[in-house]
Amino acid sequence: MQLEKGRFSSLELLFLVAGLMQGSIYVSTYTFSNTPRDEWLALLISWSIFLPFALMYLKLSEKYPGDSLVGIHDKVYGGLAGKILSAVYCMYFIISSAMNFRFPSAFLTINFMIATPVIAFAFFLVALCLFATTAGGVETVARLGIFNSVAVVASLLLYLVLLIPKIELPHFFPILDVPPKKLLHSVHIITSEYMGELFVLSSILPYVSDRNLLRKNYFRGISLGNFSFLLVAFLVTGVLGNEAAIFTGPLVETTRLVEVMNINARIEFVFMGFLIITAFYKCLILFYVTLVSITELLALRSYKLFALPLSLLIFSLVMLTNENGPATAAAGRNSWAFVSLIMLMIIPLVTSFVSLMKTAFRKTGR
Amino acid sequence: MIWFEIILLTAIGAAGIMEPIRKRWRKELVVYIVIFLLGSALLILQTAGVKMPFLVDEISKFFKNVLHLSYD
Repeated sequence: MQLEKGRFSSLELLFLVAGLMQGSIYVSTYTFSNTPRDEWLALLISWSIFLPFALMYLKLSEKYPGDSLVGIHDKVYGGLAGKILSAVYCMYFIISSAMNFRFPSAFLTINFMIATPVIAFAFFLVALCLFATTAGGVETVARLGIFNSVAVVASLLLYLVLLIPKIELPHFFPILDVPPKKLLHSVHIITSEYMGELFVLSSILPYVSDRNLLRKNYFRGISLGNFSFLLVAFLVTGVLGNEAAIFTGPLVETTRLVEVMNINARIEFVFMGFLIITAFYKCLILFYVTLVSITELLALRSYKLFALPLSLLIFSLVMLTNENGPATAAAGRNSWAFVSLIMLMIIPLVTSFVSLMKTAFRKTGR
Repeated sequence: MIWFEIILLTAIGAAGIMEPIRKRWRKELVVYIVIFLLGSALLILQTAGVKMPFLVDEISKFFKNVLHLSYD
């Protein structure tokens, strides 16, 4: 069942994929505390682990063209089991959306506007997402990705140029001087939380118009997203070195050190602005996917009708995700990585396996 | 504050509910009311200061204490 009439090009998909990954840049603190010096290595290992999973997501989508996640579950697991699994995913999407609306709001409160309540920022983010989905739909969501990705990469390159005098190559050495458990922890977080979230795009992939270029641009998007992460890793490790592990927000600390004519320029807010835009874009994608999944699960006629009550529900849940900022960070670093691993990597792997088995049995006539 | 919130939510809800009523979509109307009431109730209870469990914290505790899946 397709709820949307709109379509978008595979080039827009490229920036959609990159945008979703770049939306996790501001939570990269989770991994810098483990691997401040070897973040780049953790990123490259995660990239190589994730690529087969990305191919699996694509294969699943190609096998059921025109079906979103709910449709795929219905066809693979059958009526009841498929609906139950889709309902679990809808719950996950709602909680994940609420978490992602909370992160940038808490980020702004902690770093810049200490007296402002988190809920005030969350309100504007939710309202913007509500407007973008009801006024536009999937085409608008996809089109915004180009501005988002270009702005983030351009700002990262600008800060790289400004911070070159502060970057010290010895900060990167010795390589691999980190306990294996910490490296594994970082790889786990990056693979399941930063990259694994691309699985949510399964609900958007049916709306790509030129499907012959889908695979190529999907992987280009992953490369662009990973390139942004590598730039962040290079900046933070190059400037802060091992000290990156002790800061709550190493990226903010790094951008605070920009000096122009030997004067501390304090232009970190420019970069933070771009980070908030990426966070908003990620929230928008998650909100849209949640909305479409619930509508499809309940076999309703229009998803735009439910944007308002769903945004209200997610807004109510923003303050009910975690008790406070440290609890959010602790959950993201320790337990949520396992939740993401199960929901975004293990269950899709099982779905692919079941789908393959069903096809094999059908061919042999059993 | 709570009364202001209730009035505001009622106004927002009434604005959105007109479409399913006009189109006579019964199922959509029921789902709209259920999701809206759930969201409103959570918001009002929070404003009233009612203690509620934190979702992600509870899931984290379950993963840590029951499934023993946590890094801390």
